[in-house]
Amino acid sequence: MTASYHVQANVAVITLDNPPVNGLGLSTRQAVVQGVQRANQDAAVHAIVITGAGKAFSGGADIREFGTPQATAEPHLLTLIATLEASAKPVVAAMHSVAMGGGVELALACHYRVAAPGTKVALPEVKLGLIPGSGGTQRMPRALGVEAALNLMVKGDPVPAEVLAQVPQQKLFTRIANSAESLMDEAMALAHEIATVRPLPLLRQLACSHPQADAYFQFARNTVRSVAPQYPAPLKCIDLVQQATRLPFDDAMRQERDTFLGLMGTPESRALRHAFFAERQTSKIPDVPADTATRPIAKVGIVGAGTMGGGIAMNFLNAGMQVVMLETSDEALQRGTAVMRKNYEAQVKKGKLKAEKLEQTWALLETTLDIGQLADADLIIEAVFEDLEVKRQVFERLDAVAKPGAILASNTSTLDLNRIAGFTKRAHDVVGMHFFSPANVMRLLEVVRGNQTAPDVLATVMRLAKTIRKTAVVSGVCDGFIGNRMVEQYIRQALFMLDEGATPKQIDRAIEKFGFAMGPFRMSDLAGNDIGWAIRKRRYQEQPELRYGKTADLLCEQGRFGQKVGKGWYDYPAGSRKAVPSAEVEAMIAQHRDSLGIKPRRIEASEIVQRLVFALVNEGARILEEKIAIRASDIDMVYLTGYGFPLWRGGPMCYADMVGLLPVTYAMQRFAQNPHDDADFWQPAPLLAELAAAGKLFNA
Amino acid sequence: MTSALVVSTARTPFAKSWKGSFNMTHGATLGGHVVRAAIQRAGIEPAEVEDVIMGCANPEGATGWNIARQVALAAGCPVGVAGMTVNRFCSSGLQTIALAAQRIASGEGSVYVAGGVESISCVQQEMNMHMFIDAALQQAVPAVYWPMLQTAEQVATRYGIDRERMDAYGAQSQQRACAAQAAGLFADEIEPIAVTAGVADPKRGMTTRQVQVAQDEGLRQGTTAEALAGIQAALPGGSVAAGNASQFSDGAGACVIMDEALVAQRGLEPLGRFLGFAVSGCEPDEMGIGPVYAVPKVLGRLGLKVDDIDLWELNEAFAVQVLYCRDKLGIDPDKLNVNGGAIALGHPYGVSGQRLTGHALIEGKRRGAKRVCVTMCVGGGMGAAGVFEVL
Repeated sequence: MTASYHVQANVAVITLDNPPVNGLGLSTRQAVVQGVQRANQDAAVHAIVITGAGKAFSGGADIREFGTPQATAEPHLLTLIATLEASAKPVVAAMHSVAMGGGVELALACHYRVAAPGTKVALPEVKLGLIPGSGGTQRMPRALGVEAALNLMVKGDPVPAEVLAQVPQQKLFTRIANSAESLMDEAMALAHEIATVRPLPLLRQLACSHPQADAYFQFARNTVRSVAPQYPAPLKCIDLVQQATRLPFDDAMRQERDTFLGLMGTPESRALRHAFFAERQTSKIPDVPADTATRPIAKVGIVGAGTMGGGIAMNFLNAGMQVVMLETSDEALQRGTAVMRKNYEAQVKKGKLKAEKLEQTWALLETTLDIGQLADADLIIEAVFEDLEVKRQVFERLDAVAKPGAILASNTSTLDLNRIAGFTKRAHDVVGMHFFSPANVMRLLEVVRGNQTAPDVLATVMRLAKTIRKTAVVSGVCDGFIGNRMVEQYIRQALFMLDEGATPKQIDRAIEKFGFAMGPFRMSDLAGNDIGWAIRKRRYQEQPELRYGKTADLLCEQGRFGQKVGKGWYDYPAGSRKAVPSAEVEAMIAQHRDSLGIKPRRIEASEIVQRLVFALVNEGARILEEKIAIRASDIDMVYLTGYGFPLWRGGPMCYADMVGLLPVTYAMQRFAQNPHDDADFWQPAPLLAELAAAGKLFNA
Repeated sequence: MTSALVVSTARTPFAKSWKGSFNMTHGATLGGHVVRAAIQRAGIEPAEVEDVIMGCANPEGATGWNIARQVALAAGCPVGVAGMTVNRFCSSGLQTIALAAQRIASGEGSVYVAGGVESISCVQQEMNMHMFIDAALQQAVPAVYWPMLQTAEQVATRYGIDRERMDAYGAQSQQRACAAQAAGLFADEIEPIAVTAGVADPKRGMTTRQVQVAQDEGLRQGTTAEALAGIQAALPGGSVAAGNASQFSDGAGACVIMDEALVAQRGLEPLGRFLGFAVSGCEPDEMGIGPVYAVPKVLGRLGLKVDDIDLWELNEAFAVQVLYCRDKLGIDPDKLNVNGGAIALGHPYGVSGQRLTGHALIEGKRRGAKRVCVTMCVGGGMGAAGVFEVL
């Protein structure tokens, strides 16, 4: 049984018991329905209390059931809710810890609700592109009033029960308990108090109104549209809460159901649900069991106090861990720590960080010029110049001083981790930790698994990623790992399109309209065009067959390295960050185009988007094939958290699934016909061709 | 010369549309507030009003159902006071004043309220678009359905007015309006109002609050042409941008217009005398230049020349059309929109004519002007102009 039943002093106590968060899976629903029926049949029972065992009242729908027949099997959550409402004996919900989604909707169907202080109440369905689908949109406005209820469901964030209890005239909570410990006693006391009160109060019987309903709802629509125009669910929440003020309860409930089912089929919801599950998958590594013992990490050494080193250090400081930063000169140390300090002070200024907290955090940071100081570090992350010879020197010295069992990590973004591991006599302790700039902000961490990286090293780093709130994705060793290897193809396409007749702005605009945070040229200007130049120079040696549009090199030859020098693909007049199209660059592109004898053509936005995104998809498919990535959804997470791919499109592989893999391969075959493009590249990756032919998906 | 006198003026502050204070306020509330104030300021009884004439460019929804009748009742006028809504788009507020004056001149009545009300927040995105376009007319005169923005770009290209000049003008409008606001030059025309507004903030979400509004919301202290130059054009490749075009805003304004004999009998203090009014059509694709046709028409009928006007209010729909009309008509820039215009203060379409009239008379008196002219371009390809004597 996933809910227990016992009777105590004429009160039946039904306790949801489905760890970890008492999700409302089929067997739990069955048990609750049976409990309510049993209590109603037992003359000795005068009232019912429903609560949750362990660390939650209820987290809502059981996500393990998603997409399975159990999710919709009877008794459905709506049936359970109807059973509660129909109970002839009063039902008291005793809420604590966490009440989310369906768990909240279940409580709303009870006659009375008592919550422990600190209970986090959330209707988070919008985050999956959905709405509360089991009466939440209708009962919550009656319980909390229109405005507070709408904000709760449009934002989807948890709000403490005692905050909601302060909403004027709220009927969500009959009482807030004095403490979590006294919750059950107080719920039992309430049950005795109201045992004979009739009629039983139900939220559905209450009126729902707003003094300026039309005006308020339209204001809400205008606001939501301007903030998040791509997301359909928040607008639907507004529609349904408005219906709560207009329609009879059961009519509005039918609309809620129709809306919920309609949203389930939207690509946005599909993408958001995909991302939700993808995020929970990344830490699962098939040959590294979840119970692999991890190494304790208390002290972290960082080699290099540059932008990356400083940003990486901040992650660990923020998590309350000790950090030692190593540099080669006092000057470099001072420069690096000054940048970090400035960053923290800016956070204090914005009110995001308390001043005393800053000092506590800052006290955790040590700096040194002596590599010997890293001897007792449990993890040492190298963030020095991206050059194999430099890495060799660092890792040889680390090998000499680091204590046995210390994890040696490299922040390399493109170099061969196996060779780096080979600079030490402990390749099994070496792993890649590829942070993204700004490292204290960006969520993505590519964890690069070398041929010899020990399973417990991998497990330790994956666990550590959670501590520092990163989304860690495991990548095998290849040039560029998952993210940069794919982006290389994306950039190549962008450069080809310049040759064919597009401008940087046209390309950026098209992909930004698709939803990317930044197009390839603005991104490159921000990162520094010299970085890509250096990588290309290396590739010209290592992979001479890989063809690039030449304009990027011409740009760098003119010293147009990007925002930091005020000019790159765009002009940045007077140190501003605003990208202004550059006549000089456009002339340079045109001249180069002429020299190639290409007659410029107008490239439609749809072609720009397809060539950029499908380039990611094809390379992503090869990465999957080569088992560089464990699963397609890991690739999606890399792009969602590290490359500004729009969340509501689910990542490149998910997007390809939604477009349909067969049409994707057709488009690739079409691009292969373009004489100015790379026909070999556009041959659909065998895995993609195979899945497409079989009617299968990357993310099955 | 007529016997119709403007006796009082009152307007709400102009609030930014959608995010501003009137984003949940009905037209009857806005209009009722200013009509009540205008009547009080005039020193007459509400029951004396013959008709409340309100201009409105989108007279539907929150400003629909003959909003002028609702406004009269909301203002506390007895049921015997009638109400009429008038639409000539952006000149509606001036048209109502002209209409009241003409009815006085014709002897129909002696006391009118004339003004305008517009809620862009609550109406513009909720309009009934059913059969909005007549296909045959669209084929014959396509520009009659053009968005105003497109007509402004047309004026810019047709008459060679560049972005730099527009931004310089836009910045000047802001600077003048900010200086005027700081000096309290709008205080006499504004009637502060308390409303319920929708406010969105990251912490509290979307909530309603009671707010007291006493000042125009569109002013931006410290605006420079350089700063405006950085704003992206509204249309790709265009030159009209947020800094050189009027702002969307909500508000209402009203004047009491009375017959001279009654004013004298009561010993009231009038602001000005209505001298004349003219409208003229022009090509719809360059509607912004309407004033260059309407102004000579009204001046000609009055036997006046441009230089006989001491103060001009030429509505700032777009900087580009103000610049063209100013130079074409030969208006002295120092006499034009001296306290800024719609680029800074906002342009609730049907109200602007009322604001410009009230402001021109008050500012005209401050400067010792004898005659003032209020003119504007009008959607669909028209211009309107009214001339008043400052009293």
